[in-house]
Amino acid sequence: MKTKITYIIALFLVNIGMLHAQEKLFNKLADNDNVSVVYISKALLNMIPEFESAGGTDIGQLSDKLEQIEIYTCEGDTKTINVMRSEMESLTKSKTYESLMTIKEKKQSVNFLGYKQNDKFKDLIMYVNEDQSCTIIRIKGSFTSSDIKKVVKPSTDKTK
Amino acid sequence: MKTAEEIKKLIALFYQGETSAEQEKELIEYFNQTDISEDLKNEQVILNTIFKKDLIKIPAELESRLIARIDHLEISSKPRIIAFQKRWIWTSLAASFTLLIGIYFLFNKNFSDQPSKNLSQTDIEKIQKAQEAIILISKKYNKGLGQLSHSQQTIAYSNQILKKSINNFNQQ
Repeated sequence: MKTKITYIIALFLVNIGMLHAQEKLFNKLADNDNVSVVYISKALLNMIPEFESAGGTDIGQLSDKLEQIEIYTCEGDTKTINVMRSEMESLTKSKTYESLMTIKEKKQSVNFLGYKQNDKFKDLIMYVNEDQSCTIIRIKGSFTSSDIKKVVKPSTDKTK
Repeated sequence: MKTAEEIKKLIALFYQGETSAEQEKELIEYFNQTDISEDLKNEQVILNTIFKKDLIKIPAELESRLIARIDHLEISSKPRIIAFQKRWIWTSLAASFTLLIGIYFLFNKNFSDQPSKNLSQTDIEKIQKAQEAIILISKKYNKGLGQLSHSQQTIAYSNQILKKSINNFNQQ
């Protein structure tokens, strides 16, 4: 029994440590002058349904379940883009985030990383890697895979 | 019997309150007869009414009853005024409260109708970025799932072909 409790506590502490490490990674990106960062708070996310007007999308049902959105972008600066790439690769290798899928199209590759708790995403990262730019979109909250799918209805999904 | 002129003088004295009981008796007797001067007919009606009124018996307890009634009215009139004032205060409070609630909902509705009025340009841009980000994530996620589904179908198809080939090979 004692061993089990010790194991659970150790696992919990390791998990917290890993999450802290991920936060440090994003803070490092935010501190980089060549990376433009946009933080969208819960208060602003709650206003999305009021602004929503585009037909064929249902952003409100997902935005209601989000706590925060972070967007990190870098264009043209190869050195910074490489830093972002290596940071994302290290995140992919970490056990906290699960690599969900990679989509490759021409010179663009899109990676999805997710951190789940009880079948619900708590953190989802989309990392778009292009020739001369790199974009990381991080959404935090409590949502399912179905919530993400429902935003863009299949009939209106005209991806490039 | 007094003449009409004398009666007129007595009437004048009566109205001035200077007649004696005897003079008043004379007036009563005069006006009780039917044959009187034409110009005193009006006076007959008035004075007969006055003299008959004096004959009405007033109950002894009437005065005390009236006084008691007046006292009761004086006591009950004060709480009535207070009750009326209280009711007025409550009505005013209710009206003010309703007005405040009305104003609150009116303003609240206006704010919710026009959210952009309360936001800075930066906040509006952030919301637009958030919208774009959510749509992009959903599109790419759906595309990835679509490709995954397509890959699974391809794998399943390949497996079928492979199984067929193995079966054919085994049969040979």
